Amino acid sequence: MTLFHPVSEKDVTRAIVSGFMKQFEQYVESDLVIIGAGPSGLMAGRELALRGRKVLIVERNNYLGGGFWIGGYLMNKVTLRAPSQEVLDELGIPYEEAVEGLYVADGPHACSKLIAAACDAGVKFANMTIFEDIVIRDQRVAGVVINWTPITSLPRQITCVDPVALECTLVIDATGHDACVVSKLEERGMMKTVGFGAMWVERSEDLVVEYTGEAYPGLIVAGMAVSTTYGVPRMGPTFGGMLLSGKKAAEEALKILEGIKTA
Amino acid sequence: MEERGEFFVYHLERRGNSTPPAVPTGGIEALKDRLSLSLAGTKVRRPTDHGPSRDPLPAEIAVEKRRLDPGGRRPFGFLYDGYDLMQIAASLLPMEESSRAHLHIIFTNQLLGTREEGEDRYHARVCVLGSPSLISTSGMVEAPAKPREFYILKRSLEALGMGETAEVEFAREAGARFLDHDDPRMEEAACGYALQAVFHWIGAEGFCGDQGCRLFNAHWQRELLAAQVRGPVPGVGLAPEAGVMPEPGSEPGSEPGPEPRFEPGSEPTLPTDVPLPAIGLCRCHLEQLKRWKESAPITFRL
Repeated sequence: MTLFHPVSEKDVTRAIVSGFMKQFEQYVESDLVIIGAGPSGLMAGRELALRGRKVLIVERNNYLGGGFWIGGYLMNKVTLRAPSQEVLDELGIPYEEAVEGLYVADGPHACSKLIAAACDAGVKFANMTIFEDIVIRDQRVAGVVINWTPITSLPRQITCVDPVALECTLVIDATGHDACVVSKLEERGMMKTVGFGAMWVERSEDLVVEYTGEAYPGLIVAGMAVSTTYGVPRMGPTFGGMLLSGKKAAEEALKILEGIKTA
Repeated sequence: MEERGEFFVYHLERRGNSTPPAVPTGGIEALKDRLSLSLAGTKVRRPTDHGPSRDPLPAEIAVEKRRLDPGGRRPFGFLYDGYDLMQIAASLLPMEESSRAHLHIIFTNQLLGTREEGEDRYHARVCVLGSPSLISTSGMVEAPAKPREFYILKRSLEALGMGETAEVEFAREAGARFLDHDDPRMEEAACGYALQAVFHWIGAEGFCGDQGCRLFNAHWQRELLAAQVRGPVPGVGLAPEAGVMPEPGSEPGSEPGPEPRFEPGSEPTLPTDVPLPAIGLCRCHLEQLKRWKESAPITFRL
């Protein structure tokens, strides 16, 4: 007698395919598609899903969490400045005060808790998936075009794999410094970005949070993508700013969604 | 002297409440739209730019408009062209306050910069003198350079991704050597910069070459602290007895200290182990102020 129930290989395959297809079909249309599963994207997704919104996060890597797993020098401690420790409290992430106003947490603990919080709230993920393009309708961003990440590492001549499109009411660009969605709009001549800002100040987390919001109709920019879009001065690994930017992105998205509903 | 609230909020309210309202067609919202567009257009993108952006993104205008609301948060970090900002502020002043009889000093937490003739880049400034004069509290921290070792340590630790902790630690250990944000010494330093605005207003040179004078144009934090913050100073202000800078060694119980050494372009090495003279104006500027007060009997207090 074996410990595990006997199942055939075909049942395993069927379970994977049907489970994936069922979710994929459901999320071909959603309230929000968030590009990037770093701290700001995960935070925004969690907040929105908690408020009953249908959220899909697209992540190009297999793993979720972006750079939130590790701090500087590949050391797995992440630092946050007050008041962002309140988010850690909210998510049940343990931390210590390093010096007044600066908190340190275990990267793996913080990141896995954040991912779990997003999942628990109802966020769904399309990982190993790259953002390729935007869907524009009535002068608004109305969806995204995606493809499998692995095709990017294959020779062009053997990877004529056409992408597919997903529709949504709002897109959040949480792709970090790359600002992939914003850059695509810029490439099409539909908006401008400022690029990285000059280093006028030692840090600018507050500005990242303040400038988090709708950058183009239907597109919200969050996290470090804000820096690239508006030329906010560069800053170090300040995860508190990312978490609070994610929260602000969710607030802005909810306002827009409410406005669309009442219009 | 009248202390007012946030400059733009104050003047928008004043204009809206006047009879008839001093606002353009379209009302206060139209005025806010115009102002926010102008303010967003004064941001300097890069130090080497020849002028401000003039072509702001819609979201940048929206942020500036939100900042015109009372109680709104105004984080700093962008550099605004000081002269452009001054012009925008001047456009809001009522006619009756635009004469030489009024001095307006705006304290802002936003960073100000100017690119003077002959300079190849913008430089952050603590104050931009004119009508109105602008004094930047974030500029007090960011414009004058910090001690060299701060930048060396920061660069090396940033390469290891540890910039944040290092900055906090360094600030804690060496905080006495430079102003930081929310530094309690900032208020006292602000008085000195307000004096520079006063001197500019009375038609005198706003800056002084004497490192011990409140009017010294500091390029290093140590210079700023030496000129503006030297320990407890009762009644900092324009009163001659508080404003005079004694001759070296004339302070009770103090010995003449070594002269500060300063070579252009390098960090000054000011003595830190000797009692420094009381803060104030140099004799030359004090005399100038006295003469002005005699000719223009205006009650003035800081």
